[in-house]
Amino acid sequence: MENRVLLECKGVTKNYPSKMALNFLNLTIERGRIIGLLGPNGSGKTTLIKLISGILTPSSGVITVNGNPIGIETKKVVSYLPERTYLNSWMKVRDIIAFFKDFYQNFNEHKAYDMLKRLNINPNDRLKTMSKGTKEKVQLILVMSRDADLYLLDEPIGGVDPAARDYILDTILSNYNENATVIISTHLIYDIERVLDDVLFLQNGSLVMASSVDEIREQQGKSVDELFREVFRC
Amino acid sequence: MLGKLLKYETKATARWFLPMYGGILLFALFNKLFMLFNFSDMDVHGIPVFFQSILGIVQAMTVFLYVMIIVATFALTFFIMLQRFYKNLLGDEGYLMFTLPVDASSHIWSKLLVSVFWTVCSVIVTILSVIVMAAYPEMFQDFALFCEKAFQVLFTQTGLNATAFFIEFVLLVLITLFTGNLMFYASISVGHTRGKHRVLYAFVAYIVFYMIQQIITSVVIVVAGMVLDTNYWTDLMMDTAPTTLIHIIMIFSILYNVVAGIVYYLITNYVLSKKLNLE
Repeated sequence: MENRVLLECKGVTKNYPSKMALNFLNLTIERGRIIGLLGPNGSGKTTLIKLISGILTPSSGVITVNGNPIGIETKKVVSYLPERTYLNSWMKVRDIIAFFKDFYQNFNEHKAYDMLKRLNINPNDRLKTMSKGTKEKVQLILVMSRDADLYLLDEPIGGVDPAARDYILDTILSNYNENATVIISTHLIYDIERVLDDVLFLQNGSLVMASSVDEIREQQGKSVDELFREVFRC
Repeated sequence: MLGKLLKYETKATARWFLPMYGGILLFALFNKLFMLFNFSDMDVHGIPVFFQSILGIVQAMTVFLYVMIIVATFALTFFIMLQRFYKNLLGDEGYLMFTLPVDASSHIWSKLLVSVFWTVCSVIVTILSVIVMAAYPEMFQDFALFCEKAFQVLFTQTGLNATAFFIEFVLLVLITLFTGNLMFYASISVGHTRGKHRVLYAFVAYIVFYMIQQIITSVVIVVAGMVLDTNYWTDLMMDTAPTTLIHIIMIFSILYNVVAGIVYYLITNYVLSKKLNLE
């Protein structure tokens, strides 16, 4: 039996000059899960995702993916959707797809073109001329077209219309395989609740709850959305 | 992976430089055409004075624009060098670049090599444009002859091996280009380690680097002066031809720049691989 552990955080702390974003976080995540990373604004969701993707350096602690510390090996298998657009605006959609194909061995070009077609995005359009929502869709397509082990989606459905939202969630679900894990950070719990296996509640940089959605429903008799509102009542 | 990075870096920057190069060569050609038709002789062909003065103004404008495009191209070379490092690596686009399975050193080299490449291209295109304007049938033979003569005269008059000096000079300029770029990269990287006012800290870092280099240079000169003042060295110096001294100074300058470049590279690489904090 291969090792089911995909991601491990040991004592991960991240200090910013003005505040502590993550406070000695310990976390183990297995393969084959769809996980909601939930918490109020400023709870450390984005910081955690950025640390795993390697664009932030932890102040202390260790993060490993497949047992490797964050680096080239982990970047090969981690597919990260940031909360902002990072696309070079001078490229066409076709160019950025070629770019991804060039750099990621696990990028599936056909899948990308297929999804573009489904969402009515012309591969010959320039990224510069696109609306913010369309750019977000393109980014999501790029990220989901990789056969990665770990998908990190930071607010993937915030900026798109409800119809596209459903399509995106279906895409995430249909991409599911037992070796890959998806971590989705969001405020829009109600919309994504149906796809989640587990939830992680973050508050002030600490993990306040880690549970499976079934457990919450069975033991507490509540939806995740209701529980969230209760835990984080202002 | 470096090859792929170089490919995309060249693509991303070529769309700025190629039109500029086209502009330089085009205006060089205009200038050449104006020079071919010398307007002071024109009234022979019956062109009125009024048109002559208009053409004169146009001619002056073309010369002016030609110079301006060259100035703009070199300003662009500098601006793009900063912008590609600051925006593409440490701005929003860094989210893409630093999640690629590529190490930080490849990112630095791709930016550095492409930046030096465009600087060299800008110089070559400028020289080409001068050749276009100066062109006449026997130009290249004449130029080769001139060089041969000039090198010969330099050697017989001063004993300086002009070919060796020329090679050293080109090498020094190239190395200085690398080091100069890396000094900016290191400054921006040092600024990046700060939470706020990153641009301000980058400026401060640049000034500090500059001052350290100045201090080291001064110390080296003073120490060298003191050492060379001793009898042993004075005697040796008397026996050494002044041209050898020039070579020594050139080679020393090259080495000095190589060392400075390596230090700046190491600083940049350390920050990008160990202290990266994209906001």
